[in-house]
Amino acid sequence: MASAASDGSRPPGRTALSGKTARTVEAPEGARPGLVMSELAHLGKLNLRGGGDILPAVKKYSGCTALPEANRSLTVGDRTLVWLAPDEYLLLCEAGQEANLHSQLMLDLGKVHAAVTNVTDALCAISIRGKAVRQVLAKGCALDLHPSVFTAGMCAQTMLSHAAVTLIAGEDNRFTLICRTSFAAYTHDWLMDAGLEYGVSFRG
Amino acid sequence: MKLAVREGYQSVEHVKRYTTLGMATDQGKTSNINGLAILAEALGNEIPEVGTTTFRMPYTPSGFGAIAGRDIGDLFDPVRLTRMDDWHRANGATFEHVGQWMRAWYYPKDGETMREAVDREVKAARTTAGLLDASTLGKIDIQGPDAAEFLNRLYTNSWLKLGIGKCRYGLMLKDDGMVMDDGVTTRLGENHFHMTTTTGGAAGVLDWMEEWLQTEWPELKVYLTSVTEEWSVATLSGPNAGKILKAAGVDISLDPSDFPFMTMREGHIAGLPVRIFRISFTGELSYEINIRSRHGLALWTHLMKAGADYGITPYGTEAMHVLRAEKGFIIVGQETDGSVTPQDLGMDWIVSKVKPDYIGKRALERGSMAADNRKQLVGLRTKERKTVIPEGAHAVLDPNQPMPMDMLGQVTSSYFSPNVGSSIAMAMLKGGRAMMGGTVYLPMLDGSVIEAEIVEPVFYDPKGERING
Repeated sequence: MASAASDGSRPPGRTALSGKTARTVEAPEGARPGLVMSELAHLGKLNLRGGGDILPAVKKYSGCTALPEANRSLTVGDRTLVWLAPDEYLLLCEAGQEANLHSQLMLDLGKVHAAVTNVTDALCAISIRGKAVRQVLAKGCALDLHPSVFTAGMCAQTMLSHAAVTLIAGEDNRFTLICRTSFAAYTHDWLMDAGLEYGVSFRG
Repeated sequence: MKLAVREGYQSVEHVKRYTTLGMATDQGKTSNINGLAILAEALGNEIPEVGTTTFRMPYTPSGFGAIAGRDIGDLFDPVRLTRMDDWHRANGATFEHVGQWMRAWYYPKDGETMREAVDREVKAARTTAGLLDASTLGKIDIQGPDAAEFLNRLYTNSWLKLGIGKCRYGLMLKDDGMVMDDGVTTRLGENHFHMTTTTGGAAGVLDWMEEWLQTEWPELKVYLTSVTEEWSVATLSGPNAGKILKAAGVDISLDPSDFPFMTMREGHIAGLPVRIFRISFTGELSYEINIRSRHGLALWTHLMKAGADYGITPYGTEAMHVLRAEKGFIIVGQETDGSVTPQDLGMDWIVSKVKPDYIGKRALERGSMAADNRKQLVGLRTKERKTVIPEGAHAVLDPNQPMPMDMLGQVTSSYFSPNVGSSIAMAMLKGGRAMMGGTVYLPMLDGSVIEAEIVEPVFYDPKGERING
């Protein structure tokens, strides 16, 4: 193993989908793939648990002026706060920032009853997009993903075929899908298969 | 169908409802005509006279493929791999399913049989050092001012006074007093614990804990987060484990007075941050090295290199089973089946006599729980030393008794132990503890009978003298 560089920087290490190679299956008639996906490698992820009194600290570091309501996510700059449960959130940040963010949050939370846990390596984040993305997801997900129902800024913990995932809807048919790293290969394989009829591309 | 006729059924509609003929996934398309023919024959009638049942939807057969969809091949069920899996595959490991996980089972070299490979791995862990991928163990991060109190109610032993940086083994019971899961939990801070669970029990234990917090003890200030996959775990075990860890560049003092058994230290290996737990499932000097999963594979290959001069040997789950059985350590789900108490396992020592309450306490205090004829954990040593009893074999006192024989219990674990030089086995036998030194018989399907002596279920290093290397 390469030892740490003297400036304290560390080798980035492997991600859940390091072993999957980039691959494109063209859509019929040479159209652009209806599903495009790429791993958001090392995207920082902190699991937050706590009640309303975590807001001041969370606000300071996420930029969000309120905690997201049920099944909603809030994005300010490069940070996204995702509602997971009545007392549970996922804070997404730029790769490499999670450790500092973790200690800052812990410090600011002080005596507030809360839990901050670094789950950057426990979870895999995949960006999925394209004009067929909702049809592909609908093949394995019981939620109503119609654009008039599951709109930008919504999120949900659900099942995609046999894997538990968190779906975060962005603008323009862009989703962030988050799953446990040990389910990432399955989820990748499932999406590549489900997207075949629309053309599908994994960019690595 | 014939039984239905014998019982007096005549009408085809009644027979259908009684036998559920034609109600399976084929909706009668393949079974009905055959079933009706059998019915006609049993009634001594012709098929047209017996008649058919009213056809119901779906009239058109559906192919199994339409039902299975794309849940075939690799997509049939998710296969969960550890972050060290690439190394195991590249180095010829065989694998076994543990829940959805695929774990390295053993690593055969140069045409070795399974037994030869496992013997070699088991010996290496006791003579130099073995390396196990233990990443699949469930891990739960527990935070909050009531975390210690919560653990105190969850486990049968005491948790309030566990020092920071110290590890403790715990046994978890269902509310019926039966063993549900076990593992080592470590106090990371005043209000912060790191729990490990069995691989198969991880999700269920987290659900169980959340349920108690949300429905029974909402006043407890505790939060739980699964960190199973945040950490990859390489377990280095054996008399040379410390030397290899030093060669790997660890920056923690490994002197037993600085880093005693059942403690955890944070530090670095080759510059990468690690948590090292000095706990042992083999009875040897053992370090469970936890690293952020992105570096799991790098840690594993680095340790293999650092240990090459010492003959470090990767070992799989089979060798892990043998090593723990040599020491008489139980595996929940192997020695236990949901009907086993700590007392049945001879583990009274882990059940607090002074705590006001814990899950399972009231059930354990019922009189029948102390009955002498409950199945109890014992060791078995075969008279023919090399004979390995098949797991699941039934034990009897009199092999010549006409069937059905009075069954004493069953063999729960059984292996050949190269370190002991004989087969070793664990069994749950009725009143087994009182029968130490006695003989039991294990009748086999082919008519042969294995004879075994009931012994203490610790076959190796009973005094625990090897724990410091």
